[in-house]
Amino acid sequence: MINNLKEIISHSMAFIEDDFTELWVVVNKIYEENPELSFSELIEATKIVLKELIEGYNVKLLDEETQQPTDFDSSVIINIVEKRLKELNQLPTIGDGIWFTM
Amino acid sequence: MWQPKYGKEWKAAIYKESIGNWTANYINPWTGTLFSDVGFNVQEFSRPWSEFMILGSYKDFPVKSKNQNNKRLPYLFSPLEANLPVWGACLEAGAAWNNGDPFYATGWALTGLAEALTFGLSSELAGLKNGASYVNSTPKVLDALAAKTSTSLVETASGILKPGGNIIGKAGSNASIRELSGGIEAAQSYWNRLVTSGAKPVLGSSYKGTLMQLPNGGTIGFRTIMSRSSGTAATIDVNIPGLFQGKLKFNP
Repeated sequence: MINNLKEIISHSMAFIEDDFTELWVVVNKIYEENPELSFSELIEATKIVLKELIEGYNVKLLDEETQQPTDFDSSVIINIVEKRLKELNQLPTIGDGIWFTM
Repeated sequence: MWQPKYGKEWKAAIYKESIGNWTANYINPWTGTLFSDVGFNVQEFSRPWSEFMILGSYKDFPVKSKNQNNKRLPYLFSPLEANLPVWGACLEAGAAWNNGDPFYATGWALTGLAEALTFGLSSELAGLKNGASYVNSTPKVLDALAAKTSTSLVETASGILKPGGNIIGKAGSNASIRELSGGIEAAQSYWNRLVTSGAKPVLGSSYKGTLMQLPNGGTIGFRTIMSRSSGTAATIDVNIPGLFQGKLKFNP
C-alpha cells in the first residue's frame, strides 16, 4: 500500500512533462509521502509507481547519450531501476542516474 | 614548470562539457573555499596550444601570448567589461590536456573584480587589460581579498534558496519546479553562491553537468544540457532534504 499514490504520480508527471527527470525525483517523492517504508519496501513501491507512470502515462526511459526516449517496456525499465537502487542501497540523489522523459 | 604566483597554488579541475562549454571547480588557497564556474567559454586553441587555457567570457583576446622565442607564456588578464572576472591557467608547457586534469591557475574569480577594485587593485587590473605583466601583484592585498571573501560572502543554502522563508522563483507546473529569469548568468550567480560554503565536487557521476555535495548535506547539480525545455537556459537541480527538493529553471 502506497500512501498518496495520486500525489506521487502528479508530482512525478509535473517534472517529466517539464523536462528530463532523474530517478531521484520520483523515489524521494515516494519516500516523502511514505517515510515509514524500509528501503526494500521503497524499492517495491518505486516499481509500482514506475509501472503506473510507464503504462498509464507513457513515460519512457531516456537514452542519456542520444537524449532520446528508448522503447523499453515497463518490465525492462523496472528491472534497470531495481538493480540500480539495490546497488545504491540508499535513497538516490542527483547524479545517480536513470532519467525519464515522455 | 610554470610556478604559481603569490606563493600558493590554486588547485582545480576543469571539465569539458561540450564544445565551448566548460566547468571548473577550484579552491581558493587562502580560504579553502571551493568555487565553481559553470558553462564558461574556453578558447580552445589548436593542438600546439593545448596546454594554454583562457577561462571565462572576455572581449580582449591576448594576442601577445608568446614571447620573443615563441615560447608559451602563462597569461592572466581581466577584461573589465566582462561580467565575470577572467583568469588564466596553463599546464606545463607541452603537456596535453585531458578532461579532469588538475591544473594551476592564478587570479581571482567570482567576486574578484569588485573586490579587487575595493582593495585598490583597479590599476593593476587595468594594466592587465592592457597586456601588462602581473608579476608585481601584491600578495598582501590578495590575502586581504581572501579574508574578506571568507567572512562576508558566506551564505547558507537556506538563506539563498529560502530568503524570507519562501523558496525563490515562481512555481512552475509544480511547487518544486521554480522558474526564475535571468538566464544562464543568473543561474551561474545562484550556483556560485550555493557552492561557496564548503561544497565538494562529486566526481565519477554520469550527471551531465556539475555536481556538488554540500557540507551540511544535500546535493546540487548545474546543467545547461540534458534538457528538453527549449525555453530554459540552465537548470539547478536541488536535493537538500528538509529544505528543498526540486529544481530551479532559469529562463532567458
